[in-house]
Amino acid sequence: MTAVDTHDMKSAYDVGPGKSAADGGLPHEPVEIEIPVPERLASAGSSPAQVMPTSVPPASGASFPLPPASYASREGSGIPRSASDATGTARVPAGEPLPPRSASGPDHPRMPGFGKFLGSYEPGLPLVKKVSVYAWHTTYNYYDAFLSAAEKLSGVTSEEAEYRPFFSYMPQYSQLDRDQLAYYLKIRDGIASGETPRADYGYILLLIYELINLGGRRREDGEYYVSPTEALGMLVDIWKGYRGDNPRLDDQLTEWICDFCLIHRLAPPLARMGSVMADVIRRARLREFYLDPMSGGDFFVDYLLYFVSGYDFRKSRFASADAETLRFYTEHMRGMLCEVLKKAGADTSGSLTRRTAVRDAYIGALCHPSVKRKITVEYLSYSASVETKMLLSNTIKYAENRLRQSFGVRSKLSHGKLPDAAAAAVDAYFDEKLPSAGKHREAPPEDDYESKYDRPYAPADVGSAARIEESSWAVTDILTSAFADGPVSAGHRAAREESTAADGARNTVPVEREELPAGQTEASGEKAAAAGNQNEASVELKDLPSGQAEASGEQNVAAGKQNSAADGETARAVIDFVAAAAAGDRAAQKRAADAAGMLPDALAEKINAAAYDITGDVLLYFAGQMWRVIDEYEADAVRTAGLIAKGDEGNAK
Amino acid sequence: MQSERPVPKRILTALIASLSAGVVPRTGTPYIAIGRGEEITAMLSDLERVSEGGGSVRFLIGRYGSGKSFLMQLIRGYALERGFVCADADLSPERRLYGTSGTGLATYRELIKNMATKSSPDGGGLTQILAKLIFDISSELRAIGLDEGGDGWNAAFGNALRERLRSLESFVGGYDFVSVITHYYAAVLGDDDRTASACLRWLRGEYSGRTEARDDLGFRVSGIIGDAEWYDCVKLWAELVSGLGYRGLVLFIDECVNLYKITHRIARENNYEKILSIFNDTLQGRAPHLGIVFGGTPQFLEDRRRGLFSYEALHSRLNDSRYEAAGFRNLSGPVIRLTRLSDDELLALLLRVTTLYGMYTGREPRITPEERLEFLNTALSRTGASGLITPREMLRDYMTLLAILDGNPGVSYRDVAGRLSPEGGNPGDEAEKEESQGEVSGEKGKFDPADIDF
Repeated sequence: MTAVDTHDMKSAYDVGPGKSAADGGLPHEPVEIEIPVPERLASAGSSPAQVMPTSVPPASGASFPLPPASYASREGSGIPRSASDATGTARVPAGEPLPPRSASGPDHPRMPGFGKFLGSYEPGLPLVKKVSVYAWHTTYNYYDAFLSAAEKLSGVTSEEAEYRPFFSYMPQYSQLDRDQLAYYLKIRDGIASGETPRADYGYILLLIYELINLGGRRREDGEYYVSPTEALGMLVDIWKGYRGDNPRLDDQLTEWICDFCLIHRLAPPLARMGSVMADVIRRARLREFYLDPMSGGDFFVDYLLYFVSGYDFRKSRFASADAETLRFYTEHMRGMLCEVLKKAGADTSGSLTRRTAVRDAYIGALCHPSVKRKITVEYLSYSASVETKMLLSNTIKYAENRLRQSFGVRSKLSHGKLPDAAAAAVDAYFDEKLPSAGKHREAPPEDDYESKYDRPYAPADVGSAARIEESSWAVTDILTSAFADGPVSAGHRAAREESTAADGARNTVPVEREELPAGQTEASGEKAAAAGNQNEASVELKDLPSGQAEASGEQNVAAGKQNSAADGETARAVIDFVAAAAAGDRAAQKRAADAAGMLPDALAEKINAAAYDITGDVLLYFAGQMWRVIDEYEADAVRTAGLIAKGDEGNAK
Repeated sequence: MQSERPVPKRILTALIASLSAGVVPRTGTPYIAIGRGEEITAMLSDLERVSEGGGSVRFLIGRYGSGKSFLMQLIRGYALERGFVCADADLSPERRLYGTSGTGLATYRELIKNMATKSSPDGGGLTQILAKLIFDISSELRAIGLDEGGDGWNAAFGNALRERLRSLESFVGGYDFVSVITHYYAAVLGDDDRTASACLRWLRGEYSGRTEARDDLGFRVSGIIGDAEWYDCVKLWAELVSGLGYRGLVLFIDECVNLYKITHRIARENNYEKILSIFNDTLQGRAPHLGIVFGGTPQFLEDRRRGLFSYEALHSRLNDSRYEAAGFRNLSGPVIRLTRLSDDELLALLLRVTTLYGMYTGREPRITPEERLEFLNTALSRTGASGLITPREMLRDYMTLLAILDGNPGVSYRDVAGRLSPEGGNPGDEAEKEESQGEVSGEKGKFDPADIDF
């Protein structure tokens, strides 16, 4: 692909010497219309020239160059050529409505609707290469009365008229009463003078029909009823003025204006259409008629993004996350594509596909058969070119990956290989617009929230550390003295103190008494005393929390005497159970649990809970089939069991 | 005046072994709790709330090595001592809060497997919890004069059991839960090991289908515990254990960063919705006696693209108020952010570990406070240490140092530290280093360009 020459295309439809378009239409005299065409685009079908080789003779016979026969046959479009036109030229002056078909019938009966070949021309539009116009083949004459009335009303004005409502799906003059007709004429005059008077949809349609039928039609004296240019201008003004209240006009006028321009060899009034162009690109069946690739404007970029690319970035889950993100995506996709078109060139023209569209002019409009036409349009299509479509899709995916990078999203779209020039252009755009979206960032910027997890630096100090260590014992005490206010029996507390005295000599930490929070120690003592009192009433359910233990207190007291004996048995069972665990005797363990009236699991839990209160650790662990004594405590197991049993007996007393 | 602080032998052994290996100790964590006083107090107040019948949820958020897991173990140990039932699980790619292929249920299974009580602190407490119910009911029946195994014992036991479990039936999935537990007791009392085992299997969420469960159990159940039901079942467990005399059920779910790492957005948001559901349940009183602690990294919480804050409902609940943003700390909110320990706190931790090591060996460790400070400075001055070093790495090195000093009476700290230094001397003492180089290499200690061999 080569770069596209971006020379100015704004004058593409400048009319040459003779009567200018601004003067009321295309010239009567033979003229040469200069249409600068970019090389690349022109190379697809026409010579880069610059000249619309339309040498239009007077009414007696204008000649239009026809496409080469080889081209027509190659396309296989079936577009017929006039049998009567051996030279391949049509004899219709520019700006003239093409004459009705000959009385002898359709020239090309194989193609329904095709009447007599009226001529063809190369409009010199960037993408539309050739237009051929045929009369409308019909055996009936419709709307003669309408056309006659339109001709009679041409030039009639009505200064004094009041608004009168009017509605019709297919409005005609015959449906208007006198007042409505007067108001219609007033509307027509207002629009012609640049105003937008109040008008119902019926009035608007009627005026549009009048312009379609009379635009470019000549009186007997040779003057236009309404010149094509004037009619086109009014059509655009009607569209812009009334589309707000009548959105149906968007669909209708998009096509009718295109037909009108093709028939009358007028350039699309892009500048005058202005704001409606966004809708035109979305609605038009022949978008290429309205497009100018060299302008690089938003309309063309939107066309590429939304109608040519095989990938619609708007459906990306990242782009569609919210409206703001979608705007961000759209802005950068447009900007990126403009950049690529500039730098890498809209150099897709070399691979554009030449296609032919067949149009029935003024579909849905009231149109006299002598005005209605069959049109074939040969144009260059971006969307039909697989190569162009793939190139665009890949470019957009590549750009989206860059955008995702800017969000920190790691997942990427897969895409085909992108030409280096296009990739470089995309990278250059994002490097400039979104520097943080660079492909090779050194390190991602630290998120703001990271600072919440930092702490200001201060050098370590031995004295300060010692104080912290000392004060931390308070936390340790809170965490390790759980049983201070918990459900620990008084007997077990006494046993723990005994155990501490015996066992703690080795594993002790010397700590200054002053370091302990005095209040906490006292409070713990009070709580422990309270717990002890409470547990005097509690017999079996001593591990329940205080509330529950209280709830069952009366019941337990009533059964206290009976259970005292049972506690004695339980104390013996504890020793037997631990001894069995140490010896690995499962049967003995079961017997001990039975003696205590408990399941082995329940008795083991009771022993472990008591051991925890006394030593700060459990004594037994479940080894699959039975409970065993933890290895480190095997030597002290019997003594600990004795302390537990002693605690139980203490509780019972 | 001196006081002595006893540390149980097994706990001390396990503690020293864990620190030497560089893992968070499962027991004995209170003895190395340095700093974090405010955070611990806040967590303990949560336990009080759970004990009183409320619910709580906390997010412990901190960088890797900031002490999340340590704090969780600390609170877990405390909760066990205080009569709570605790269950912990680490999330992973195979264990999530919600998933369609059993990943949610896998977390439940892990929680049940690790369900611990005071008497079984290492997990596996399921059968003991259920045995406690039998013991309680039996005690009640004996208290009213019934003889175990006598006439009417079984009927009275069944009635008492149903009465105890009746409140559970009003919960979602409660009917099946109660039905399975009732059958479990019938099987245990009737020595039907097969049915008892099947009931435990159902309670652990190990059935993959209703038909399989029904065939195995031998009675009808309307459903099994699956990905969608496990959290309802957790609420049932919380209610059950509180009815058994425990203070409540506390779940510790760590490594929540694995939810942040879920690449599929829908799957990730489903998990966040489960967290939202848990958050609302616990703090709106719909999950009595249930406390849940989540542990995760800052990304898991605060990343606006993939973290909890990417889910707007959670963002609005967990985000700092503007007063906190102004620099004031508030620990009453659901999020506790853990900053790294200060250098003073790290030094205090070394001091504590030195003390514990002395208790373990029965000998005074041969390291002075100044050498301890030097060790800390050396560890922190390593390249990248300010952001990367964690207490566990430092403690592991320190335990190694203490062990070397203890096992080699002729070796001093200087000798060991000098070997560790890449320069072959003490990095903190340049003069000493130069002198040392001079001793070892003689004249080569002086710089001479001719000596440089390219």
